[in-house]
Amino acid sequence: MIVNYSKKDIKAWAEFSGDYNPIHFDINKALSYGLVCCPVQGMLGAMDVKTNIHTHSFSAKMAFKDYIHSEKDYEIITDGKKKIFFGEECLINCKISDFSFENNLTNLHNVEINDQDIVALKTFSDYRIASCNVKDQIWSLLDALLFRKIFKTKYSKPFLTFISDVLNIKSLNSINDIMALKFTVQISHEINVSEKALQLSTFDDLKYFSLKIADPINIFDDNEKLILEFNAFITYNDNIVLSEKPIILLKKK
Amino acid sequence: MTDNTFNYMAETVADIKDIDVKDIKKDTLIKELNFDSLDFVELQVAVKKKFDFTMNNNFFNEKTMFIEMCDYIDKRE
Repeated sequence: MIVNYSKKDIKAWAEFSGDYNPIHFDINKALSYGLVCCPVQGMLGAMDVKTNIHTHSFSAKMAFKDYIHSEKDYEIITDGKKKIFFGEECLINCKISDFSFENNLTNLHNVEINDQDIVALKTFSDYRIASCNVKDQIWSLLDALLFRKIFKTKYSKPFLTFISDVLNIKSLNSINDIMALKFTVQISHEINVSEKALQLSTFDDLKYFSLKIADPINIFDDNEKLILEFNAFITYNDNIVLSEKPIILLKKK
Repeated sequence: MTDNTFNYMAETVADIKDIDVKDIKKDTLIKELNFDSLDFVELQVAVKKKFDFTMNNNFFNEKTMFIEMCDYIDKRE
């Protein structure tokens, strides 16, 4: 499978996910961070990696190794059922394992999947079919939806106070606010996908699901950078349907 | 250095670099593993999670061996 992302694709993903990180749109900002171009959002590349996963319930970890350039061909290479590589340079390294999920999270926020989300999901899905002839599976779009909610969630006051102090930013409401001011990049993305999620065939089923997002966990903090782990999951009748764990690096200076 | 630390670090590095764990020996030079900055961040995160220790990249130089990195983690200097 060969993929090639246009500026329009970058915009469509941003409109859906809320990932308006300026490095994807503002060349001067990207250059000021030491990049050579405005890269494609890693999660957009991950969408195409995910279309190559054909298995029963599974867990997968995607490590984002380097930036994806727009207007460039990349081959997605599947190595058996356990590994998928994005591009010969292995810009995304995806490892697949048996499904497992442990929930020992605290400070969970109940988040609603609203009509706006469903419309955005359908619009993005239609765009993918029209622009690159890819019909994403519902579980894959659901994973994308969780990512959208992570960006927009208003986290607890203690977390926002912590992050405001560490990054020296005032008036923070969401992760979107941080991205506008600090160099932010996703370094990995982990998903756990159950049989129930794989069986989803219509967006309308989503109204029966519950969505929970935990306060981000500070997993690394030194003079230069802060690394945050986000955890979000979807349940149906109290059973985990799908969960995801993106890890994001923020540079302090 | 404990075998546990060596085994964990070898498996973690093999996973990050997508190489065979058997290719990592005690005297392997860190520079031979061709870590880029994101690989190093991934390693820092893994060490922080497992050992609750913040690894400083100033510790490493051209001649640092794998066993020295494991010792450094064990001593939590």
